[in-house]
Amino acid sequence: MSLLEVQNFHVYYGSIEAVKGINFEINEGEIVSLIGCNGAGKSSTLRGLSGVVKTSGSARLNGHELLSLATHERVQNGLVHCPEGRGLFPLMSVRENLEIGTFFRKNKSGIKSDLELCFSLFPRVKERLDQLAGTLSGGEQQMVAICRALLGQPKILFLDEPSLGLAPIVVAQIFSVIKILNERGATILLVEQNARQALKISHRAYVLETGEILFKGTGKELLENNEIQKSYLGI
Amino acid sequence: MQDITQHLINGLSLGSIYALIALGYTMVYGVLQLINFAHSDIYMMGAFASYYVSRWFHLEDNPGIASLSLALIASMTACALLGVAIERLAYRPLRGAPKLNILITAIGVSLFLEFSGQLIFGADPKVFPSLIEDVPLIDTEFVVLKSLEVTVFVITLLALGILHYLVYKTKFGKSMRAISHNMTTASILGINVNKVIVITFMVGSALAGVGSVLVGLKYPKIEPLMGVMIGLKAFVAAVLGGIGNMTGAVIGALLMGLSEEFVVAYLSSTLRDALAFGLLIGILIWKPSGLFGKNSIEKV
Repeated sequence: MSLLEVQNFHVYYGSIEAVKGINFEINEGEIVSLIGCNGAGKSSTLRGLSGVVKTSGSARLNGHELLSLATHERVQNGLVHCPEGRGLFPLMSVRENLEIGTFFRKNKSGIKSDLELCFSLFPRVKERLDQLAGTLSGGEQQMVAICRALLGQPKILFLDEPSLGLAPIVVAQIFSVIKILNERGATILLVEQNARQALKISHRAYVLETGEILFKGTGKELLENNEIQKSYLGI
Repeated sequence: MQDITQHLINGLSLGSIYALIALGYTMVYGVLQLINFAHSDIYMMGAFASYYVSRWFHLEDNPGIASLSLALIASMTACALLGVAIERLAYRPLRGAPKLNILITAIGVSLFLEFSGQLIFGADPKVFPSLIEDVPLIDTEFVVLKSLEVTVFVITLLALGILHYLVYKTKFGKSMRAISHNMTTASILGINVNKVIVITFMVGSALAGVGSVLVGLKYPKIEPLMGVMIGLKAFVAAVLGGIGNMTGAVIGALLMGLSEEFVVAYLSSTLRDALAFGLLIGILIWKPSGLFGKNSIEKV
């Protein structure tokens, strides 16, 4: 059984259907990417699974139906979403931003060891703890956002456009951390415009177009697929 | 010189009471972007709750800290419960509805409470019991400081101190600030948004409850429409400070209290209310975001 099984999944914004009945699954320990153009429904899929937009269909995490749960209950069940644009609280310190991701957890020592992990992945975050989040550079903000998501103890981690608007050197660092996390056992659903980088580190990927899945395959297969090279990789 | 010091004290004392009420407006606005027009009537209900509890226990017969505390607890509890009930029954079903609908509902709740009050308590004013003795503590030629003034000021400071702790040091406060920045992001971090909103209503309403007892002590005449004017002024104070900004609300309220006091003292007491609304018009024309508010562009 897959960790996350999504079936006949729709996402609606009012009367507009952004995702039109897609099916996909993610197994434990995988990095799976959703790639596609603007408006293909990638972020909408994540937002729908997180519970911040209207959906229909079915999504089961470890066999438990998610779609009937409130947003915060999905997080407590292990679905943690690191949103596009990072979603930090600019007028709160980095420390407070990180704390907020742990409010529902009872286990103090667990939080502490997860925090240590975050600091070892991103030493920069530790240096910035008492600064207001709004004063950080884009790359640092992304690091804080990823740490905050990790502190939510994800069974599955959603990363929405983690490389958006960042310098190439920071992008490389973020992608290498994603790989490290995965090697440590994390299951990741990645949404990226930067399709080439995403496919390189993904076990499997789905290509979305106007709310439907067009192709699926392993990262390598899709990288070598002619049509995908033309449409999404700019070769 | 004597006059100025005395007016300064009176103005700050009045302003700090406005602050207690203004904070309720600004906190609820912060999390829901809703002007809770029923807030002023929650305040009125608090005054009546403490009035009836005081009568029931004959608190007037032995004034002092104990009696005052009991009245405060009664008022705060009644206000907190009423705030939660209003959120639950009137506002929550409209979460996600157009803002205008919620605004109209808020006005409806306000009218409902005002006229239910008239029906239940009667429209005639009642005399609020004096729960604390009013003796001069300092009586010099420069300034007269009476125990009532001091009590009002101390209780206000205490309430503001507790609020500050709640907002900046506790999980509730941090969650509330997160929600007021972005409700969606707060929810995907595992924060139970509805729970935090309920607590926000409780805390904001309880502050109004504290305010109602203090006003009752200062101006001992209560009636079901007593919230209207003070509520509007506290609202103006919140807008002056930048609605949604808590520090702004306190500073706006103090400015409001001071300027009212000085207008009455040096110009004319008939201008007291004109000042408040003149101020509101002025802010809306020249600085709609208030002194400490952030500019936001509303997409239409």
